Amino acid sequence: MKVKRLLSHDEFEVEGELKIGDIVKTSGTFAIVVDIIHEEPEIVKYLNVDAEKVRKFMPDLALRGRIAKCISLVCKRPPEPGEDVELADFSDLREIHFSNGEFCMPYLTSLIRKCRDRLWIVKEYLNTLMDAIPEEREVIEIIRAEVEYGMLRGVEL
Amino acid sequence: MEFHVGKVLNSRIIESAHLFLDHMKREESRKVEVQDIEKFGLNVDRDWEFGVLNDVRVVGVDGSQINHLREFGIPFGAVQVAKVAVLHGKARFNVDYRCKWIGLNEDASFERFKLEIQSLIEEIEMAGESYLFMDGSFVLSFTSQFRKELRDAYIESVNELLQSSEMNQTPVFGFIERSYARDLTSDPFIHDALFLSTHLRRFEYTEPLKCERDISGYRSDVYFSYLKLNAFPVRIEFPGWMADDHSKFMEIAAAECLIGSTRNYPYILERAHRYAVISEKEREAIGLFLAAKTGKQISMKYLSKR
Repeated sequence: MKVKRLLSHDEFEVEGELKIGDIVKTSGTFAIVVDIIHEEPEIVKYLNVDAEKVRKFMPDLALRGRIAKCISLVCKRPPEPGEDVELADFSDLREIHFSNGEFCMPYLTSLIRKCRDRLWIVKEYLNTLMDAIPEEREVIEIIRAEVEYGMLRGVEL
Repeated sequence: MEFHVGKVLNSRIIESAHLFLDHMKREESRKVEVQDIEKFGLNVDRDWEFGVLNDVRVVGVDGSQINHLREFGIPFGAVQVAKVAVLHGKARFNVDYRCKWIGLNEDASFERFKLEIQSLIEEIEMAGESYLFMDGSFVLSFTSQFRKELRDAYIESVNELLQSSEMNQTPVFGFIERSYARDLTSDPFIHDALFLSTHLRRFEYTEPLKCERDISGYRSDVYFSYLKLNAFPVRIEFPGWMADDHSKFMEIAAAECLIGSTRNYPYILERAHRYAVISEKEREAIGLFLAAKTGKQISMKYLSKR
């Protein structure tokens, strides 16, 4: 998976097979996938060539199209277009949440603001975080309850 | 009113366009004397290009640049090069990037050119037979106005590429889709491709011709051929050693063009360009990020234009 382009100082796109809620890392960034789009395939420019020939002779065309929009959680260095992207694991999640031994989530307010209409992404993320950092489960549960309250508040009965 | 190029007119450009058009038509209709040029034809039939390219590895390199981010208070820029390799017929490809940040005293266009050349040389030095494509000419006429050190640096880069190609017997093409070079004529209006657009038929190409123009400082010969796939012939340059097996190389170049979306420009360069490009939005995102993280003042002129 590769960084496709930067959208802003804390948002970028990744080309590859990702799903919403995945946590990814580049050389200087940890980010969460908040949207998946399918870009208009460039293959439309090569419609005169049959599909099997495109696959064999123009293999990069056949693979392109699935784009994951990511929001940075931690950014030491913005990603470069073309940079490799990997899925982050639990040890990565632990590493970015402890500063001087203290649990912290400095990105939380900005993440909630950006996912205002899709708070379920934040809720799922907090569930993942509880599995990765079980000793902070109580704190994360409190945050999750607030997020759930925010979700309910957004529903008009 | 008599018109000639270089004359100052008391009008806007748009009002004088018809004068220029008349002048251009008059000049282009003149007969020019051109040396005899041998030409050859390709036997292109249905799917010919796929047969030629099957099992052939091609590599394309293209670059882009971010000029210095002055408006964001960052006196640095960056260049980026994408190298795309495709093994045709085997569904295998690879995209590789190089980038370099540069200071105000460095020339972004040259740094980009150098990085493109270095990427090609790296590829040449790798084992395996490949055909390399670069978007642009090996004959650097535009450097004649540059200061000597910069011109020498450009030429040294090309020298390294051409020598490396010969030493490793790895073919490299400099591809110019719209060339205004005048190696065959000295007429200011009738450039080679314009003259050859009537001389060549579709799928014909010229014999390899040695370039004698603007090559002081070169340690290798540069040859060129024109190939007509469309109305306007394209110019393909290559090092002298490739002239011996010219027809094979022209077949590869022509086939690579024919699988491109326009059937007139190499597919591998289309893809390299697609990967290399840095959009204005990306540039702005990088500039704003750096300005925000370093506390730099963004230019008021820039803000006023947004």
